[in-house]
Amino acid sequence: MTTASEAVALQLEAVDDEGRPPSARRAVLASWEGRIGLVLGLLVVLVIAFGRFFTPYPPNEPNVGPPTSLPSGSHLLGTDDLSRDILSRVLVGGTVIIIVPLIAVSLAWLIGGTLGMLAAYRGGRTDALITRVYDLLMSLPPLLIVLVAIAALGTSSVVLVLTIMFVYLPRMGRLVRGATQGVITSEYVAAAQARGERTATILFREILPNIMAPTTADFALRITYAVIFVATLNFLGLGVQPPRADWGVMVAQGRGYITLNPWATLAPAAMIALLSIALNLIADALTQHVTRGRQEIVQL
Amino acid sequence: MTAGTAVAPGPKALGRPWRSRRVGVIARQVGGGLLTLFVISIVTFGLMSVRTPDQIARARFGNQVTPAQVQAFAQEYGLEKPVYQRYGTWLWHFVQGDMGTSYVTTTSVASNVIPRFKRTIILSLVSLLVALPLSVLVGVFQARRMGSPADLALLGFSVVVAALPEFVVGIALLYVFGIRLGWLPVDSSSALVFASSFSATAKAYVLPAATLVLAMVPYIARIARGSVREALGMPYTQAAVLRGLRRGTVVWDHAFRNAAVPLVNAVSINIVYLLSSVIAVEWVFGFPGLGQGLVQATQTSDAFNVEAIALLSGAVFIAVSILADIAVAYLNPRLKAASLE
Repeated sequence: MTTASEAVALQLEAVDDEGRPPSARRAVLASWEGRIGLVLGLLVVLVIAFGRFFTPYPPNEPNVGPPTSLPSGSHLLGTDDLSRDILSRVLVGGTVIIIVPLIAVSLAWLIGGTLGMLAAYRGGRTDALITRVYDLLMSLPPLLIVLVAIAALGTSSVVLVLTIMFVYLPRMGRLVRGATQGVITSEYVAAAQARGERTATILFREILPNIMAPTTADFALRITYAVIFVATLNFLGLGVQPPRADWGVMVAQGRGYITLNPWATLAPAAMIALLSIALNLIADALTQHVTRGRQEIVQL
Repeated sequence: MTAGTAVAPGPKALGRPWRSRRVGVIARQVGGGLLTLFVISIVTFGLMSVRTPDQIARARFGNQVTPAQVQAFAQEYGLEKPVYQRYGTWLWHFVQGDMGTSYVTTTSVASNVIPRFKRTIILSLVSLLVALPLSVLVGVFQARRMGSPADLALLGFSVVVAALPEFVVGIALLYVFGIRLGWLPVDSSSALVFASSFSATAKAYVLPAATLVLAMVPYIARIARGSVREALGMPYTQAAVLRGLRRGTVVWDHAFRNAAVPLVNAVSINIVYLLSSVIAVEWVFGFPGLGQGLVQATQTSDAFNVEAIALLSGAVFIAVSILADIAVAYLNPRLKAASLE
């Protein structure tokens, strides 16, 4: 069960030319793939954030034109089977697939990471208990558990956030635990203990800043997976429900009349593709920076 | 749990030959797998029992059901009993091969799940049989020309494809080969269920399998590229070249042999996750497999079908992980010593 995530943690001593720990921002900007990813990602995020103010038609308004029509001057991407404007729906349809992963992965990182740090710092029984629970959670096939939870609890954003959080919590927790073990013997930790600092202070003021690099790379990677995960759930009809405009839902619905107006499917699919490519490039750049170009096997 | 006796840990075990210790490790893994399956069955059954008989009856008959009808419905399917009792009955029947009758579709769960299971197994096997050799070929090809335009083009292509969700790749393939070119059926479902000939059946597998292959190859090829490159720079490879061995022998018998260990490792860690993309892929093409069945059962909160599919696919997941572990240990002599840990 010791995975590359713990190997990532071993690269901690990496410092840049000026002796500082590597910063995430410069790590991304230093490589070509990071730069391309950043530009692409910014474009998509701009569409998601501000697209809603530029919709030519109300996105959920039916009968704004002929049904399932091909792109034309008045409907740049055509219309769907309910005669809704595709472009307007694409402009507003990216909110959930970025917000839900952000919240879910942040929660997983906060809770899983804190417990992971605590496990490594305390050791002994605390460590054994937390690690055991993490291993148990990781042994369950993720997509299966998420689907079962949705079957039982229904589809809502809260269920989506909680189930995705549970998928990533043990995985992120184990990485933080491994990273913490790498710095736990450092002198600054011993110094803080000698000063009589509280455990929370040691964890968050002494240890956390020194494990930020591998943790940030892992965070970026998990966001990437989670975005794909949420988009897939929406596509499967298990996340956001129609009539709400969402890229994944639009791909699924457009598939029914893909011969009539392929753009109803291809445009939202392309947006999802752009977003996941951008996030992947950024996460790759961060990971390569942390691992110093060494090839690592990351557990998905 | 039976595995506890199979492995006798302690200094004595170290003296035994590797093979028998390995059997012990496998027995323990199988035991652990059964335990995981048991946990999956409890979690799924527990979660699926959150809904009350009233809700289930409403979902099936509509909102105008009378309390008497609900009661009769609950009695028919034994829903009025406490959860643990229902779980016990269900599990007892399930391990004997009786998957029960769905109270959503009122049909036998086995007749729904078993044909789907077979199709998904065929689809996964076909994809793996294509993807594994193809990834190795692509990876070795790239490793031998690291930094060349061909390598960089393949690398860029694989970065993009690897980043895409499987359903986006599937939709793209469906649009190009199913609709634009019209070479392959757009809907696997009718092609498979009502197939008249072998070729019609085989065609229904092509696009879903191609999507799965595209999901796996970039990931595996990338690791193959890195590990083969590393092996090509090793002294033993140089020694083989200096001995005047043929190029193919050097690459495949010397470099690739050693590169295979990290490769099998990487594949084995993630094979289960790569295979779970089958769920989305089946949905794209209307492929009547286990994944499509799971999504359908999830959408309709069909408890018995969800549980049966969860257990079956959980069992496959665990079996695949154990097989992958065995493959890793078999290929890596260094793990032989550590396999007791």
